[in-house]
Amino acid sequence: MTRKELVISNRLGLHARAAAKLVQAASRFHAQVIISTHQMSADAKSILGVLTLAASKDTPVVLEVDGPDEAAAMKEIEGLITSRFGEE
Amino acid sequence: MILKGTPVSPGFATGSARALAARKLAIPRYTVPEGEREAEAGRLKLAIDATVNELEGAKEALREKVEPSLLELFDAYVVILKDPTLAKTARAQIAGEGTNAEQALAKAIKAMTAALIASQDSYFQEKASDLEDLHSRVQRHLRGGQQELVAPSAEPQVILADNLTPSETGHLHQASVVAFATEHGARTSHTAIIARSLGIPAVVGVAGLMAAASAAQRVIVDGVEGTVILDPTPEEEADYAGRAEAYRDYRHKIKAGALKEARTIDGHVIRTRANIDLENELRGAIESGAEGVGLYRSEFLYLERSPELPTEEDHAAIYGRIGEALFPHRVTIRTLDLGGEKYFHEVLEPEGQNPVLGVRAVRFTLRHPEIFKTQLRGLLRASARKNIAIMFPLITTVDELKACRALLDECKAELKAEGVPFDNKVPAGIMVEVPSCALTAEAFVPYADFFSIGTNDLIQYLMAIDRNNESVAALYDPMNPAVLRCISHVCESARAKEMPVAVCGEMASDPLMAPLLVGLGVTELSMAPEALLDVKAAVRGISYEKCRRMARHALKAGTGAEVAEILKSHSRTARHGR
Repeated sequence: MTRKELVISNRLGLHARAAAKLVQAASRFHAQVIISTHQMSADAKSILGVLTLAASKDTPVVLEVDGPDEAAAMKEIEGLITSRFGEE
Repeated sequence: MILKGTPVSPGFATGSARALAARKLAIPRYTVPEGEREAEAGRLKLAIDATVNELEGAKEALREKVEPSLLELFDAYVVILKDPTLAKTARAQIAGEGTNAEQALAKAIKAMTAALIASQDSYFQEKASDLEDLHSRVQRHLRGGQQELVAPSAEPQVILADNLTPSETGHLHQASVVAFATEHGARTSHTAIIARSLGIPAVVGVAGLMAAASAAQRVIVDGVEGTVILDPTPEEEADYAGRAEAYRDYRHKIKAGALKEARTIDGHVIRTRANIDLENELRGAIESGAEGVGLYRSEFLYLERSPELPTEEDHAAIYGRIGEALFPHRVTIRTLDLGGEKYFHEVLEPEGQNPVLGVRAVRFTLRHPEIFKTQLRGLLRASARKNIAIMFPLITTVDELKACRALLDECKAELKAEGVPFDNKVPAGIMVEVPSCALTAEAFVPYADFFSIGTNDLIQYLMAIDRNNESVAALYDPMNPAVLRCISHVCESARAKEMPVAVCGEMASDPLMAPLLVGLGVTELSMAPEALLDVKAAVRGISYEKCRRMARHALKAGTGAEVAEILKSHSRTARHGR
């Protein structure tokens, strides 16, 4: 399993569009992807789960990726979050 | 039979009627025996997969034709359908209680919709009806019924529906579909936006449409007037065939003229610029031939950043990008104009009972010089290319304007000391929207580099009406002579010093009103990008002399109705090539 701490840095946080992008990316991999804030954890392949996190800008999150393609999955999702979901 | 609705996408089209059945489907309910539940879950999965494919197909059909942000909508739908929570909830229902796939889906979608709406994400809160549509799509697949909304046809077809969602509109995009009309829907719906970008005439909100549609054979859609004619007479068909052709010629002509300036027949040039809120509107503005931005509403930057305030770097970066995109044309940035709107209370400070008359715009920023100076410094830093102008909103007294300029000078001195480059002569003007300012405009002339008349607010203050209160909406009348006389006075005051006067309110975007504004002495018109082509064409189709005559005439009128009559008689010829 791979684990990484990141910060949501795009202006609007994990709002609908960013959440949809995150879920799309996570769904491309076999690995299980869990995203957590201090309060709760969610399946990153579930739009509902990700939106329920209500992670606003500057929220620290933990990504836990587990599966055969976990390295690639982590790389892709990390890229998405650090590039602020291509928002700016 | 002639029905009326709201025109949302201009043009004229005639075709055979294709009425889409109402989307409310009866959902069957039965119990699945234990041995068949696995297969039942499989049936649901197939239907969901088929819907996903369908949505992806709709997205592909629209790619390259509409704004990328509209396409993201389809991605959001796909992501919802693929949500494991959805599948899990439905599967548990089927396996545990033997619920049939249709009912299990309905329950799961219902739970999901409630959860999405509760997620506090305004995006989904507004889209509840789209989720409804997603649901019926999957239900239709479960039924294995006809999925194609409209079969391709050699003949032109007009789509008649109760309401259309963006995904449905995507499917409609095929050569044989020439127009659509719906019983419900509004100008701002995604469907209207897609229709406009595809160039298909559309009328929405047509009361009684579906009741009458089922028997109709032929239909005419008039996307200019907002009429739908069911089973037209041969004379009506011939009339509209002529109009459709004239309209095509007209579009062709004004498109060809998009990048040419708005010059009247007798050579008087009017600057036409765009009003924008967001950066992604720049492309449309440039393509429509905007000679810069006449009003950039900086509020969105604040709203996006709330509850924090944007930094000086944020300001400098965004204004710099807009200035660069439109260089060498000018970009006029309005400083923070908030207060009054409900959402802003949470960002800055609570308001009293009558917020539009309370502490907002410069009344607010002058009380918070630290917030104001952050924006002014950012503006100055973005001005080094010398195409940025600064505009102060809601100026009521000369003293306020002097105070704004003093703060601007303070910022200039600071930046100079820091060695930061900026445009030392950056034009600073005012929004003229308070009657006290409009009626004493001459007193503001020595302290302003330009005037920009915000007619929306000016009208609201002149007529003592709250624009958001529907029960007094009828009193909102841009043609009221009080409004015209105010505008005329502002123009006369500016003319002495050859100072430019713009109008950046909705009046400027109306091809009927634009010539009147020109006649009153307005030198620049700034409007929503999609209005530019029509307004430019209206200016090109008339002489300045005639505009002056029309204005003189209108200034003598006693009522808005008289002004409307004058405009009608003067501009009958200038409209849509008719």
